[in-house]
Amino acid sequence: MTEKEITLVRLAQKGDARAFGELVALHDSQVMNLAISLLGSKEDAADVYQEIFIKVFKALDNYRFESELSTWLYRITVNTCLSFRKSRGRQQIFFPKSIESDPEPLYDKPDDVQYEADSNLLQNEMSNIVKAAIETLPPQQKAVVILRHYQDKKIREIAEIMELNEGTVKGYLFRAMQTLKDKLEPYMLN
Amino acid sequence: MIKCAKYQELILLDRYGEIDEASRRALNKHLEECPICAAEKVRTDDIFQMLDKREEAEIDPEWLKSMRNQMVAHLQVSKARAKTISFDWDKIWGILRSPALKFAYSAMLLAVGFGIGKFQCAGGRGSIMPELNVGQMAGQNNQNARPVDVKSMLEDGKLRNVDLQELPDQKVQVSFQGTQEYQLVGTPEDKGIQEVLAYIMLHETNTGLRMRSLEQLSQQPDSLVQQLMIYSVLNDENEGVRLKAIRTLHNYPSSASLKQAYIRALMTDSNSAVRIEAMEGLSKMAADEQVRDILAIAAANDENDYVKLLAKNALENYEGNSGNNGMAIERLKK
Repeated sequence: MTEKEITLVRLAQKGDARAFGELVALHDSQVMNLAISLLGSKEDAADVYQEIFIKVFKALDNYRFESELSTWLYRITVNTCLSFRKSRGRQQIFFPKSIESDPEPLYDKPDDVQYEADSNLLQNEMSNIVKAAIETLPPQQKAVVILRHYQDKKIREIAEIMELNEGTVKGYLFRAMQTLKDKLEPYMLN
Repeated sequence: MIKCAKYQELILLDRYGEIDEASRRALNKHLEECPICAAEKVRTDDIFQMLDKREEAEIDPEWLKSMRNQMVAHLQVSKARAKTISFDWDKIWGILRSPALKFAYSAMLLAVGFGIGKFQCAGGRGSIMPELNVGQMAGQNNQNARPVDVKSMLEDGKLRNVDLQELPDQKVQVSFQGTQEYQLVGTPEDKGIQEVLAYIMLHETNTGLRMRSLEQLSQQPDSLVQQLMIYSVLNDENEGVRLKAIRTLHNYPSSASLKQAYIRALMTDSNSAVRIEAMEGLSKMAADEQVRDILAIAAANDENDYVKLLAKNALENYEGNSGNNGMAIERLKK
């Protein structure tokens, strides 16, 4: 935690909204990125943005510099997003038909020039397929995958963020990967 | 198989760099011997390749900044709201109830009672109300501060049959039914008149009376009147009263409480004319970052296109000519 962050936290703890705004500016792109990943949409993430940071502002009095500020922010973000998703009910996932019932490769081996022309489109399509597969995971497993694979958090950090023990985090990660392998295998080139 | 399950978990953890050197050596030795786990490693590598194809959503920094500004404004407004409401009452009633003024209250009540008694002794009837000329009394005593304990003149805290008349020489006559019928005459400079008018502004349900009280008080701007105006801007249910109050506030010098009142009015008032006045008030203040942020929020999000335009122009004015005094808004309004 930098000196600047410590100063801003102390000012915000005294109710200085402007200092809090500066503090938020240091972290909100990461928080937003995590919220988009957890909720699967920018619109939903924008809905929870204010809720997350108002919770942070209100809880800041209790922050005692014992854990990393980013860990604490991530914890509030994950909890808020999981609650938000729960309150909205299970999101409807528009999943490629082949993943659900009739697995067949999305494309044949790239043996013609059309493949080059379509590669951007294909990349976009693959990205959507991966996102859809991740969306099928139970919320806790999904959060672990996103934090480990996309946010590059260590298992120890994830355990701290989600208030779980490390063994449970490893279990979630392993089960999530098995599910993703089953879902995505039909799309693998090899 | 139990052994392989353990190694398959290690394959995943190794891919994330989460195993120690001894475990890695054991894993590699096992992979050389076990075709099932070797195949699983290939499968894990493939799934990592697939997962890496997921594209991160692009976040526009301006979009993020706009949400951040809204959130900070929300916090500031909440803070200002709590502060303003409690401060007004403390200020108003703290003044009225200060020990130093108790003697003056008593003297005033005595004078009211004396006036009424004198009138009744002279054989008058209730059809003509007793008159107390607060202004004259203040002049005779060579002091211009003669407060009235309005609450003590009322039975249940309510003013009844209130009548407000403008008289020549900038005088005003206020009559009402309290514990008895009262009539006060004076100018808006007289503290007694000010306090009755303030009471009307805070408690009267009749919009016209609140508006006329506000108009009278606005002739005598002081810090107490300023607090009353801020209270009306933020709390009065009538748009016309709020508009008149916020226009009166433009006569006061910049202050933190004034700025917070303008910010809250701009962010929350349902009436666009009030929001325009709030913006004008803000544009006359020093061009600090907070004011610019609030104007930027209004420029981006206000539901009224004209308010958006004014906010945008005020911002451009700031950028082009720091330290301006809101001339762009004036020009646009004309």
